[in-house]
Amino acid sequence: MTALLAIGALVAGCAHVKPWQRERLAKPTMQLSSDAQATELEQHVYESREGSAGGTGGAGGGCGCN
Amino acid sequence: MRLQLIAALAIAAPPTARADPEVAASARIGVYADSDHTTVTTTAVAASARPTDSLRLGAQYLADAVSSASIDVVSSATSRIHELRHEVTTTARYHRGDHALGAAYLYSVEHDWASHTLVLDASRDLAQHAVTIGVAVTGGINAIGKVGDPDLHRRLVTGGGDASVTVAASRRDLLQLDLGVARLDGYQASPYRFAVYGDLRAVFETVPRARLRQVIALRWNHQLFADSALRTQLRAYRDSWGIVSITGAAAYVVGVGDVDVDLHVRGYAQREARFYRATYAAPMPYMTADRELSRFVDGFAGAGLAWRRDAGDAGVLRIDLKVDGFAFAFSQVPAMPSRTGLIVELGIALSR
Repeated sequence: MTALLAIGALVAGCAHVKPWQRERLAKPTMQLSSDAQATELEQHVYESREGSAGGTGGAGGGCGCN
Repeated sequence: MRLQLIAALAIAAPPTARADPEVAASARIGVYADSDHTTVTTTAVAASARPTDSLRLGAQYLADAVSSASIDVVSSATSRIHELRHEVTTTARYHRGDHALGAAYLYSVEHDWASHTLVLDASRDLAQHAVTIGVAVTGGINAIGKVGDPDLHRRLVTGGGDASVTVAASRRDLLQLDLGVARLDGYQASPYRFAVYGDLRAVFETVPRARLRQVIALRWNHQLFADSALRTQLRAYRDSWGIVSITGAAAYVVGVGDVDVDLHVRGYAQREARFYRATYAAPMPYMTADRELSRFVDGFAGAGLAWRRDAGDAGVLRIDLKVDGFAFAFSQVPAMPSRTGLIVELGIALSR
């Protein structure tokens, strides 16, 4: 339930950001993963040496640059 | 299993600035070295192409070369081990309008382990691309053996799902919420590791056959002044073995012309599995000497430098270098209370 509320709040919060207002969000410095291959190697280190896994993000986007 | 999903997305998403290039290729090498006498060299090469406007096909080869004389290895009466793991990934991704569908198959093999994994994912953009929702499911079969024991054949089946929502929350804020669940059924111990009880009696470790993992993560990117951003992540995890963990990470990224510079830190704290003991007084149904199942904290910190050159029709070239130092503190492992090390990565990517 908490997760659903969080998702609802996220979606509700974005409605006012128009495509032409997302210039800053499309910059490389703002990408959720600037290099997916680097992310893969990084997570490989964590997951082979820690007891947990996952939560590293799925589909990107949200910046109008997909 | 989660890594297979990341691998699939890595190939499906070209790692350069151009949104959807006709062809893309990348290579990366990473070297890991720690105070536990372990060195891992990882090499990955990937390529993808867009035969039609909507379809992207890709492939990746990855090799892990491990050389180790860690306390685990030495306690198995072996002076040093050398292992090589090969992983091949193929992907297909269909992208049309607001929708994307992806599929990936991964095959990984080493001298005592082979796995087949299938990943299917879908995403959809909403609200004029201000919101992206994504789902992914994975399933895998692992065949496990043991060097020196041709009669040992074990099996591990994995499956899971992941859902995420990514939102342009303001002109300066990008948020992502990620929920994941995974179930592992089968052999999850190490055939090389012993648990010790009582008067130094050793038995092969045993852990539960089933494990259910749940994770929730929130990522927040905030654009600061000029071309710079603060990227943060908070992750909470728990599983049916009793492990509970929390992860926090932050990176400050500055773009200066064609160069991006980042400074990053990450901290992790974990509670032990409920059957883990620093020492076992008497035999128990489940016994392990796996320090990754103990209570510990770790921290990573480092810097990255990426140079990107857009030469118009000639394509985009990106080269990056990353250096990280790390330290682990194991409060329940008397034989190894700490571990420190260094990771260096170099990557190159081309697209046009």
